[in-house]
Amino acid sequence: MIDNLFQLLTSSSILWMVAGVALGLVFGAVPGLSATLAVVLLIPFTYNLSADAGIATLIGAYVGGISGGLVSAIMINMPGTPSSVATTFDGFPMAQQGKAGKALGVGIISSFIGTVMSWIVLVLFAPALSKVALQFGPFEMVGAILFGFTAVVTLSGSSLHKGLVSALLGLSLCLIGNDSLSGALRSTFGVTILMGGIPYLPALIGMFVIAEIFNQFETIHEKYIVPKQKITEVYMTRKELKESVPNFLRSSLIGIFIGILPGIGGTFANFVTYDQAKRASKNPESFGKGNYQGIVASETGNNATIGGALIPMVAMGIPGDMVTAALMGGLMLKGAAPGPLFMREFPALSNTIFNSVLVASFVMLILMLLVGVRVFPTVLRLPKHVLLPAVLVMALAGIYNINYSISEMIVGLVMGLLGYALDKFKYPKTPLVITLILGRTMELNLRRGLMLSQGSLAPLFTRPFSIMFLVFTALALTIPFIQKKRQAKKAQLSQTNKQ
Amino acid sequence: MSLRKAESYFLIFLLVVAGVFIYTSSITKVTIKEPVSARAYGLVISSLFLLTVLTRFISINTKAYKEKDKSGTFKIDHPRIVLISTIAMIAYTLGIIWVGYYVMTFLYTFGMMMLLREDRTTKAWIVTAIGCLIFTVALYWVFTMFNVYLPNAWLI
Repeated sequence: MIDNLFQLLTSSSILWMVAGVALGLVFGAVPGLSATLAVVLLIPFTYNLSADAGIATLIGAYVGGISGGLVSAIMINMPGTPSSVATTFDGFPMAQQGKAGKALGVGIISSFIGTVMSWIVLVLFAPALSKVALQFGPFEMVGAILFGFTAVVTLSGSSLHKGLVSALLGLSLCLIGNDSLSGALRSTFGVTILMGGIPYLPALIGMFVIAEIFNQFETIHEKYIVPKQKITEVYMTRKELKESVPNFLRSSLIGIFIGILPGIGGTFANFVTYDQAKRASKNPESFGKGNYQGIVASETGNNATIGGALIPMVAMGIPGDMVTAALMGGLMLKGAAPGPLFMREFPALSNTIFNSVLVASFVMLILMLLVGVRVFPTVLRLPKHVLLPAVLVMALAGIYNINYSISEMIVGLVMGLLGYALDKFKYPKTPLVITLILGRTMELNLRRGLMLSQGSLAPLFTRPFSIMFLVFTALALTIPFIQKKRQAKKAQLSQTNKQ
Repeated sequence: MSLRKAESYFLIFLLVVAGVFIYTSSITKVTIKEPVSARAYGLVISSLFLLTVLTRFISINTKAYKEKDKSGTFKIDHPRIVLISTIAMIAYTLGIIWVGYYVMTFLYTFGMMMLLREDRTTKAWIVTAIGCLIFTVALYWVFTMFNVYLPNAWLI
C-alpha cells in the first residue's frame, strides 16, 4: 500500500487528481452543480488514462465536489451541493456577522477531517463493515430511517406542528409515481412526467437554491448578499479544535455509517450530524445563529460518507450512492468490475482507491486554503443583479444534466416556488427534504419487510439492529423533553431561592 | 393581511392537496396481494397529512390564538420583480425546448440583469450585453467539451 501511495504521488496520476479535485471544487461551489455531475462528466475523459490515473481523477472530483459545496452555503446561503444544506444553517449567519473567513476555515478543516476519518475506517474495516451492512434487512432499514426522522423534531424550529406539516407534505410527495413493488401508478394525475416520482435532487436544488433566489429578489435594494469583509481567521485555533474533537468523532462515525447504507448518502448525513451536534451541545439555542459547531457537524458528516460509500463498493460491489455508482462505471470501463473478489483480484487498484481518498483530501485542503478561500468568496460577492440570474441558469443547467430532462427542470422550479411559500409562512423546509429523500426507501422497506413477515411488525422489535435504532429513536425523542423539564425545574428552584 | 390569515389560505391549499392525495391513493390499482398495499400506504400517509394540516388550521383560527397572535403582517417586497422573475423562469425553461438553450440563456440573463439593476444607462446596457454574451459562450464551450446533450430546438 505504501508503494502504491509512493507511485501515486510520483506519477502523472497526481496531476490528474489535482485537476479532478479542482473541477470537483468548482462544481461543488456552484449551486446546482454537484459531485455526482462532476464524476459523471469526467468518466469519458478518463477513458484514455491508465486505470490508476483514471480512478484517482474520479475520486479527486468526488472529494472536491462534496467539499466545495460549503463555500456558497456560507457566502450566499445557497448550498453548492445538496450535501451542504445544513452548512447554511450556521455558515450564512456567521458570514452575515462578518465571520466568513472563520466559517470557511471551519468548513474546510471539518471536510478534511471527515474524509480522513472515513479513509481510516475504509482501510481498516472495509470487509468487516460491508458484512454488517449486508445483514441489514428491510426492518433494519426502517429502524435506521425512523431514527433519521427524529431529526425532524429538532430541525422544526420554533413550531413542531409546522415541522410535522412539512414532513408529511414530503412523505405525501413521495406517493407520486410508479410504485416500485407492485408497479402500480399512484397519484400521477395522468401526467407522464410524474410517473418516475418526484426526483429528490432537482427538488432539493429547487427548495434551497431557487427558493433562496426568490428571497433575495425581495431584498434586491441591497446590492450584495453578504456585507463586504476581509477573509481572515481562516485557521481554527487550538482551543476550537480541542472543543470540536467530540463533534469530529461523532459526526465522522454517523457519516461513515450512513455512507455504508445504500441509497441514503451525504445529503441525509449532514442533517443527522447537525441534529446530533445540536442535541449534544450545552448551548443548543445558539445553533442556527452562527455556532461554528454546526458547520463542523455538517461538513465532517457529509465528507465522512465518502469513505463509507466506498466500503460496500470496494468490498461487495454494491454502490452506496449515486457517485459511487458512477465510479463503478468508471472502473468497469477499465475492465475491473467491483464485486466480492475485487480486493483479491485487483489489489493494486484497491490500494489506488484507498490512497486516492487520502491524497485527494490533502489536495482539497491545500487548494481550498491557498486558492479557494480567496477566489470563491470574491466570485460569489458579485452584485445581486449579476449573481442571481447566473446562479439560476447554473442551477437549472445542473438539474438538466442529471438526466437530460426538461421535466426535472420543471420539478425544480415548482419546488422552488413551494420552498419560497414555505419560507414566507415560516415553515421549516428541512423536514420536507428529509422525508422526500427517504420516503420511498422507507415505504419500500416497510412493505417488503411486512411481506416477508406475513404482515407482522414483530421483527422490528426483535432483530438486534432494528431494536438498537428503535432505542435510539426513543431516546432522541424523549431526552429533549426531559432536558426541558429539568431546566424549567432548575429555573423555578433558583427563583424560589432568590425570593 | 396578517401572516395568520395568509397562513390560513396556505393551509386551505394544503388541505386541497391532501384531499387530492387521498383520492388518487384510493383509486390506485392493487396488483399484488400484500399486507400493506400501495393504496393502503398512500391512504394512511395522505390521511395523516390531512389531519395534521387540519389541526394546524383549526389551532390558528381559535379565538384564543387570534387574540394572542403576534406573527405580524404578510408582505412581499418588490412584488413586481418577484412576479416578472417567476414568469421569466418559466419562459426560460419552456424556451429551452422550443427556441434553444444558448439563445434563451443569453436572453434570460440579459433581461434579468437589466431588470434587477438600478442604473439603466447606455453603458450599462452595453456592458451587460457583453457580459451575458461571454457567459453564454463560456457555457457553450464547457457543454461542448463535456458533450452535454441539449434539446433539439429551433435555434441553438
